[in-house]
Amino acid sequence: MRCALRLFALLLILGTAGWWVSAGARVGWWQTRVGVERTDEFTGLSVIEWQDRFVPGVETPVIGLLAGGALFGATFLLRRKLPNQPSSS
Amino acid sequence: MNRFHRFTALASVLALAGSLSAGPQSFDFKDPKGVNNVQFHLDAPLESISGQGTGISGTVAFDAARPAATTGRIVLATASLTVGNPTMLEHLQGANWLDAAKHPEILFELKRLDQVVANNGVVKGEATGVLTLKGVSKEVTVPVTISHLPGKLGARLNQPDLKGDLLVVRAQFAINRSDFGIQPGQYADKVSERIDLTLSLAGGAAQ
Repeated sequence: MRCALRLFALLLILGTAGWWVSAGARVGWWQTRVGVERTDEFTGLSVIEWQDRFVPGVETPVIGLLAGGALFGATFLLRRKLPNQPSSS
Repeated sequence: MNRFHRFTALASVLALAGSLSAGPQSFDFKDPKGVNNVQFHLDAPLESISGQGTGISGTVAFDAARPAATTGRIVLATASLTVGNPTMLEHLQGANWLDAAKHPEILFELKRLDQVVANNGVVKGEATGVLTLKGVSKEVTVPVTISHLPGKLGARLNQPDLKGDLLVVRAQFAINRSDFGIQPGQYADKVSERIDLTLSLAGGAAQ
């Protein structure tokens, strides 16, 4: 149980960090709209078109690290409680 | 045969005279491709704001033989202005800033073109006109570049049968928001007094 929780905490930290990096490692906050530039090849004029899309910001790995760290810490509390629990045998 | 040559020469002269006396063409700036836009940028000490407006309409009367006589009227729908942050957009359109409900249009009425330099269909000059923003009208002079592309309207719209000319207008200039009564002297640390504007417009004149 303890090992499973620690593994889950590690996956949470790595997963959120990996998601943030794969989405471009945006240093700013979360974005819910993204501007995509479209160019008219004939005139060379460009326009930005806004699309509703979620882009993870720097909060994402921080939240992952805090949540994963808290979960990992909680596993130590879990270990202390184990000896006090009545044995099933 | 001799009569035929005289006829073709006369036809050519008439065609040339017709083109010279054609006068200004009216270019419609409601772009079917939806590319026309006005971009704005404000760089304040604490915050940088960028966005654009795409709701452009209006007409420009342009005569390739007399570019200095260019006049026109370009309208930007205030509601079409957008920024990346939804909360900021709400403030921008709200009564304290642009008040889009009460002032639905931003208008530029072009009066004349000065210091015109024309070269191979590209006209550069100083456009003087009246800019109306949030109900305040002020005369402004902005540097513009106008590219006249005869017979290219159909090619741009992928409609080879459509005959007509294309006019591409580009301009970059700056205005002060306090000149137009937009929260004068307020929030200067977050909302810059200076607004940098970039106009990218294409208009068509079908024949």
